[in-house]
Amino acid sequence: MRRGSRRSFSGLLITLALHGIIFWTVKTAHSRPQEPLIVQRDFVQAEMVKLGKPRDKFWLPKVHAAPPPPPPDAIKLADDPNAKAAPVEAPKIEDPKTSKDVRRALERAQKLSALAVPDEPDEGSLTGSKSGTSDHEIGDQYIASIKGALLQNYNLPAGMNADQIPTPPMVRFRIATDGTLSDIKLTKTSGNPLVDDACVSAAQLTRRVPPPPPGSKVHGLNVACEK
Amino acid sequence: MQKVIGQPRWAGVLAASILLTAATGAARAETPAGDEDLPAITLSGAGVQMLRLAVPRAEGDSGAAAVETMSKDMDITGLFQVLDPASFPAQLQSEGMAFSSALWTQVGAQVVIKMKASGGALEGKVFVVARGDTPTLAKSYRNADIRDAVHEFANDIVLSTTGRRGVFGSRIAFAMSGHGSHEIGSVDMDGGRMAALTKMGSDSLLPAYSPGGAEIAFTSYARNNPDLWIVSSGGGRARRVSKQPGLNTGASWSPDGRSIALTLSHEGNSEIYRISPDDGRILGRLTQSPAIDSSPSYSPDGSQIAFVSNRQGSPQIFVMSSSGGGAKRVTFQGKYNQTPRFCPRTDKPQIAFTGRDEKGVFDVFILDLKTSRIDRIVPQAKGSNLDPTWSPDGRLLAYTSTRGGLFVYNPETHHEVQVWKGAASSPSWGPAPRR
Repeated sequence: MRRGSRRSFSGLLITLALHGIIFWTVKTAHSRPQEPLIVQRDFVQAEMVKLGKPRDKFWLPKVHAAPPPPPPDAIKLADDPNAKAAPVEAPKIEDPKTSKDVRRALERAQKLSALAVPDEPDEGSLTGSKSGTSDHEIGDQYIASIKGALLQNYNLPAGMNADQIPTPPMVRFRIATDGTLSDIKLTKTSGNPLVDDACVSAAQLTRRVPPPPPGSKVHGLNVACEK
Repeated sequence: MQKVIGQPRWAGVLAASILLTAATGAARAETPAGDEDLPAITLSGAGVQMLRLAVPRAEGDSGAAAVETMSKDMDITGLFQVLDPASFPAQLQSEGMAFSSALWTQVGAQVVIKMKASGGALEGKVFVVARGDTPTLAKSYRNADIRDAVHEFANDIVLSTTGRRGVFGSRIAFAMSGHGSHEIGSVDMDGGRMAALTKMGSDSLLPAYSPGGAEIAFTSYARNNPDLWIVSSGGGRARRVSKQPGLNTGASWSPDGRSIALTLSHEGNSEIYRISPDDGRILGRLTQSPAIDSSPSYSPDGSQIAFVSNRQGSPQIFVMSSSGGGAKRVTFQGKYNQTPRFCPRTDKPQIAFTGRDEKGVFDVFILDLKTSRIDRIVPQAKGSNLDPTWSPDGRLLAYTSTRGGLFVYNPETHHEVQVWKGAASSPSWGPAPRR
């Protein structure tokens, strides 16, 4: 305990001494008279440039030149049959610590991914969009084309009033990959057989529509027939 | 150390489950959708088709007359394409009142009418082939004349297929050429049972049926002046109603039958007046113009009158209040438009009129007052067609033609039938028969 108290007392003395020295130094520096600051400048002689005189290239704005052609060596290297192709993909290193459950899940995911429709190509767009045409847009355009084809064959009996169609009939059909309509069925009656017949006939007479575009998820339609 | 090892393990499980979910979703989207999952669309803006109708041989002693009358009635409606019976197989001709939808489908018929007619008694059935072997309409009729029974059945068929009853049994009056003079005559709307209604011995023209159909007003020169006369629609002795000096022409009955609008010129200029059909008393002057005003036609609700005036140069169609005033020009195409006739349907604000085209050919036009659209209804290169008159249901138009006779036309299907082959002018279609 005694050793500790002596140490702290001597430390306090040292600290006070140091503070005293700093105080004296600062006070001395401020008490001395300050001399005026004189800056010595070196002047540079310059010549005026006359108009019409061609300027030095150094002062002209720099223009980015086209990239230089590849050196002939580079072409030779590409044609060199002995040249090794760069690895496309880094070799996979299987983590020995991966559990069996995770491996099974990954394998199953890979199998299911194989069933999925491949992504649409980046290039080409039905809508002119740089980002390509979405499945939704393709579907809308395709359905619109089917609607147009059906409408050409959709004719209601002459003299039919709107109140003759209290509830629009509904027809369902499937669309084969070549666009053929099949399985045409009246799924909802209007109560008027002539109106129902007109709705079914629209699909039957159409027979075939444009084939579904790649990636289309439209394999059939439910069609309600209004006046 | 356990935490450092555990993180990639859990991350791997998470990544795998995300991959699994995404892949499953993709695979599900490609699976053929169920029927209820198919996209739904709505078709609207349907076209118009004439139903293919078969009227096979009818049983009974009046069967042939019944089939002939029914076939013509259905053709006149413009709603049906009547199939040629010669194309029916013998099996269907001898089917009687039975019905096989499967067989009639092969013929291409959509509607089949079966009848059994004896004397004036008629048993009728209507089959819609798409519905099957059960008739959609089955009814019996009894009249003195089998034609009347068939007309009634035809009206019911039109009602069952369109929701609006037919007007068979109504008649069309017109000025007919006789022995050197025009007399007023009338025919059934199918051209049958022609009857001469007047024996004025001079030119009689411009007949106009009263709203109830009991009387016909017409102009006759019998007393050396174009006076207005009224005769019973069944014919008989005509009475002179308006004998103002000058013109007493172009009568149009108000819908309530209490007044007649017509052209009078007793004050020097042709103006439109309203008179009493009882005694010809002038009830009011409707136009006040130095131009020629003529050919009035009441709107179905009686609030307006269409007429012809040359107050802006050439003869054009105008519409004014039925009490006079507020005349408004409604035709701006062509240089010679005349004989306007309001459509009798209040929900169909249209005026049919005769117009002369740039080649000097007269034809029938329809003006839609809502849209101001004008349609030329009769195909060109079919002579001049004149003086349209609406059927009481507003579905058909009758007019005369330089081709001769009287024609009935369905503006919806553009189907035209010649119903009367004799000389005729200025027709007026009477009201629908009372049930």
